[in-house]
Amino acid sequence: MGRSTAQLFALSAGEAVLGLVIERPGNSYQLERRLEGRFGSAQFAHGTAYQAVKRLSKQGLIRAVDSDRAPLSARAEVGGLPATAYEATVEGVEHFGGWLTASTSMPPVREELHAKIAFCGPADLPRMIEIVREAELTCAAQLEDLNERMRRERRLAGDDAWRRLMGVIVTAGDAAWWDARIKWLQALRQYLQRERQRYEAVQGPSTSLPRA
Amino acid sequence: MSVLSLTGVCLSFPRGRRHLVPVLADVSLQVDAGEVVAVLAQRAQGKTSLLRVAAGIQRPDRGCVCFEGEDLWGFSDRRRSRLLSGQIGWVGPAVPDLDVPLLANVALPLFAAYGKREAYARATAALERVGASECAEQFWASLADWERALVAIAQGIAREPKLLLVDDLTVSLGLGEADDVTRLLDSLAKERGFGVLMSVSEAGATGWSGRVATLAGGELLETPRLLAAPGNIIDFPGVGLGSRDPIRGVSS
Repeated sequence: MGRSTAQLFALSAGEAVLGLVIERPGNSYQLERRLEGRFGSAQFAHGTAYQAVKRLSKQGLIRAVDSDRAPLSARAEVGGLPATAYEATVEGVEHFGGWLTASTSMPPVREELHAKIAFCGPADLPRMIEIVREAELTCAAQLEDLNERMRRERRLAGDDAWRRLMGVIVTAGDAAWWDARIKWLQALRQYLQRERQRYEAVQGPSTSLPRA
Repeated sequence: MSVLSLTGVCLSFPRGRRHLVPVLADVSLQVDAGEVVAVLAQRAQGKTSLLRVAAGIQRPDRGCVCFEGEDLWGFSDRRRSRLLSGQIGWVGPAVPDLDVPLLANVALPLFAAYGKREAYARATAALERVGASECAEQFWASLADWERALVAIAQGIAREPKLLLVDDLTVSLGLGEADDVTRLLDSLAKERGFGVLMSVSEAGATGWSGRVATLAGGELLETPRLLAAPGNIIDFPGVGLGSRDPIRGVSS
């Protein structure tokens, strides 16, 4: 079975983890933490980096580093056991270079809420307004979460000016997405509220509004 | 205790004899000392009205506006006016263009409260703190938008307020500039312990605020408040500001 549209356009955890390994070798635990810190907005599932490390290793794009050769920062123990550190292979670096310079796909625009709005009737307006309000609150919470991650990322970047600059730009991209989303939801909420008032003025309380 | 607390605030403006345009509907919001709260809204959604109500400039139709636990509208006009010229600071995208050098522009409103010498000392210190001391002898018209924002912040903090109300300061700023300006506000709030209520038109300008509320159709939506973890208060190194680093408050 083919991948869904959302999967096709989603950021691949493999490429993200490979990029992190190229940037700095590390063990799976460290990569999981770095993936969350850098790409938390992509909402990868817990354990994604562990799976990606296995896959990339199998594909020969990364390899385990001799414990003696691993950078000190990557030799940390996890749960009392020495954790294997990984570095990129030549093939991995080439693969990543190809991915970095390839054209980027556009994400899908429409999703579940669009469909609900498209199919709702006047009787559904009170609940639709609630749903839009909930979505707006969720977006604001996501924005707060993004802001928090951005501040953490800035701290981790330390004096690395280039990384800080790229971090600002990437975060701005995320924020612009949430901005557009929140503004659409705000406009939608106001529009639905006006429609509800208009119908109630004609038909009485919303419970008696006709279904579409 | 909250520096600012709005409870059930309603505000509407009359249009003709019969109509009322609702601007704020049952708005409740708190701002604590040392925190930055951003209100994200599009144009003409009541951002400035919300700040005017918070400042005690605009009386709401209903609801309570408390500054440090006391009802602003229980104060005499004189006391409220004193608050506005001292403990409540206002920062907007423009300061009055008085055709005088900016140091004087920042100092002039302080004359009545502090006298000439102290007013100039405060204005000089505020401009230096925000990294705009190079603008002291310039005129408003000659400044870039980002420098204007810094001067506006300097004017706002010169009185050492407990609450700073910031009205869409980043609206005309670019990506990095808006980030630097909001980061400066966050840094100042933590350093000086004042609360900041900031209205913004773009989500990108909320990056350094602890909380984000959205305002549309008079309704303010805010995610439930979480207890601030002590580890969240961190001093971040500056970005691209060279030797004058207003965010850290020291020269780097």
